[in-house]
Amino acid sequence: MTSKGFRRTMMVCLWIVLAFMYIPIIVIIGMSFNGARYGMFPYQPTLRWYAELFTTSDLLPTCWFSIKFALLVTLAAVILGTMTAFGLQAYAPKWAKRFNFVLQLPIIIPWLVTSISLLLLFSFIGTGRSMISMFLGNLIVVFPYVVLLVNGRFEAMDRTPESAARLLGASPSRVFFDITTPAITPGILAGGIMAMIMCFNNFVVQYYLVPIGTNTLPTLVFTRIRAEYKADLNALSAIIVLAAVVLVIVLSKLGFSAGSLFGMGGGTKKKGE
Amino acid sequence: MAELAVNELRKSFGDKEVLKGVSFNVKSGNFLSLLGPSGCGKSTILRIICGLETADSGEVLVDGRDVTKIRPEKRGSGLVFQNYALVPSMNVEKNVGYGLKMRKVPQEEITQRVAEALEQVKLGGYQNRKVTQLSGGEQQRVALARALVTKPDILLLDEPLSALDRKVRAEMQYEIRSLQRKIGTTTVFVTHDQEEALTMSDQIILLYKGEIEQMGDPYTIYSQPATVFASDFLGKANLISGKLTNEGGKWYVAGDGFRIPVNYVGGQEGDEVKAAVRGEYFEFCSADDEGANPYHLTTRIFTGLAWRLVGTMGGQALDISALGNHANTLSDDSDVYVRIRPENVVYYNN
Repeated sequence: MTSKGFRRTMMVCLWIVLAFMYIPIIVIIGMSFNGARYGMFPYQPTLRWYAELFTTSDLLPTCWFSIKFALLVTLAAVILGTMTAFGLQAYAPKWAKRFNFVLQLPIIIPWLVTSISLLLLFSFIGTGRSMISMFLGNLIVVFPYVVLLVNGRFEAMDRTPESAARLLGASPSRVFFDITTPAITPGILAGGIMAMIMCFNNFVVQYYLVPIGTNTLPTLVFTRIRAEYKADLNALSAIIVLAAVVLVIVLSKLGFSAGSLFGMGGGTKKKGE
Repeated sequence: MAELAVNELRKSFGDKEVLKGVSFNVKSGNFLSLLGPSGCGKSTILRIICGLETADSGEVLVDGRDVTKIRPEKRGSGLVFQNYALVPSMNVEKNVGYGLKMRKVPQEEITQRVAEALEQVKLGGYQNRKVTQLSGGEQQRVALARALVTKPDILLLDEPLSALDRKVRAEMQYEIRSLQRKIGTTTVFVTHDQEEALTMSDQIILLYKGEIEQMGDPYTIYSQPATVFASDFLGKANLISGKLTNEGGKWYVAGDGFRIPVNYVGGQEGDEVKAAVRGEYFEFCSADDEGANPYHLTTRIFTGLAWRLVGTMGGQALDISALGNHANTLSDDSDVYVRIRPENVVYYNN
């Protein structure tokens, strides 16, 4: 095969992957405006599902609850994760690496295992299935991602301006807020977004730990799909997709690209330059 | 302005001892260079003086006051880093004014003093620039202004010029020195560049493996290196082996086919010694001149400023550096006579 043919094959591959990723999303948005039963054809344009979503449906209140819950978990994860990453950096590189490894390890443990062991633990200490258990469970699951992203930012940043600020008369906490925080903000934002998204739709952990009688959005969707399928779910999905797109646009307008947030310094300058 | 004294500093990282008891003092308003190869401990000394590092033992005195236990933000020393260490999230004015803001100086005074400091480093009007958009030389000027605007007792410079290109570096050497003379701040400058140390300093301390090899003014350090290491590090010196001899009250280092006059500093007649001589102190002469030694010139290399003559004296390698008007007429593979004054030769026991 010529190299041109090879490249062309790879480029076609890219289009196939993109199609595979986006067609389901486009379909669900289309279906949210379809009045036909079970989302079937013939296509009957309607806003009925949106109307239902905003009036009688229990999806919207549950969605709000999930968002508020995810925000709370994110806030805790970001604060603790930033402090942890800062603490990691205070160790000599050899030890920082070891601690980091131990902190990242839970990422590869399946949530199923984490959830069951958490349920066992919480039952043992007496909190069982409760809000506090669910909060702690989700926090534990998203926390390593925040550390991963904030720590990456710490490693990419130049630490000498902090020393310079100390010598100019700033106390350590002053240095942290004046110098360190602006430099690691992209990492904190990325970690926050990651934590928010993972917590918002973490069915596994929430299924095991949600208090009896309460529903988060993932557990509600799960029970509803088993009972009956209604297209107000499509309407909600379409709104969530829209919100995600708006978020990405706002972030890029603020000067953060996905590369600069999640990369190890993409879009920013290298050390010492 | 302040006098700085450092007493018996010791420091180890793990089991590596980087400072083995270093003491020195700098007179008020003087410019001291700590010179040495990388890993000699020179930057560690600087970091201990300003408090970013703590010594295992020893003390740092500013005007006789022990500051060893004072936190870095209370020491009032200004440090200029090799990589500038400007805060990327602040513009030039905020960077320079940061130290004043920490000292709770009123905003109007900050604005004024920042403007003056920027004027001093020839960056007047740069207040609102982003630091990431400045060139390396400009960034280092901002860093210098930031260190000077708070009027520190001691100014510390940690290889501030080594990231700059040759031409900018030469300008900055001159400017830093003239600024330091004008302001009169006691300054400690760390460098591994011998030329930089020689041009800028009042006083040089040569460090090697955590110990002071030699201390003195630039001319003495250069012309009379106290150790073999010193002779080699400050520009390449020739080391010639011979025997210490005494003829009619005058001392020489002599060997097969040469005899170099020296000033006696110790040792016995007949001792095996090494004489360190810099290539540029030799002069050409005729065979019957006092102190003439035969020199076999193997080849000439043009280096721009001077010719480097590669050859031998009494079978030992000897590089001579000669200005154009002397060396232009010489040809490769020729024999000439050279001599040197005793004050430009030092010798060490083997």
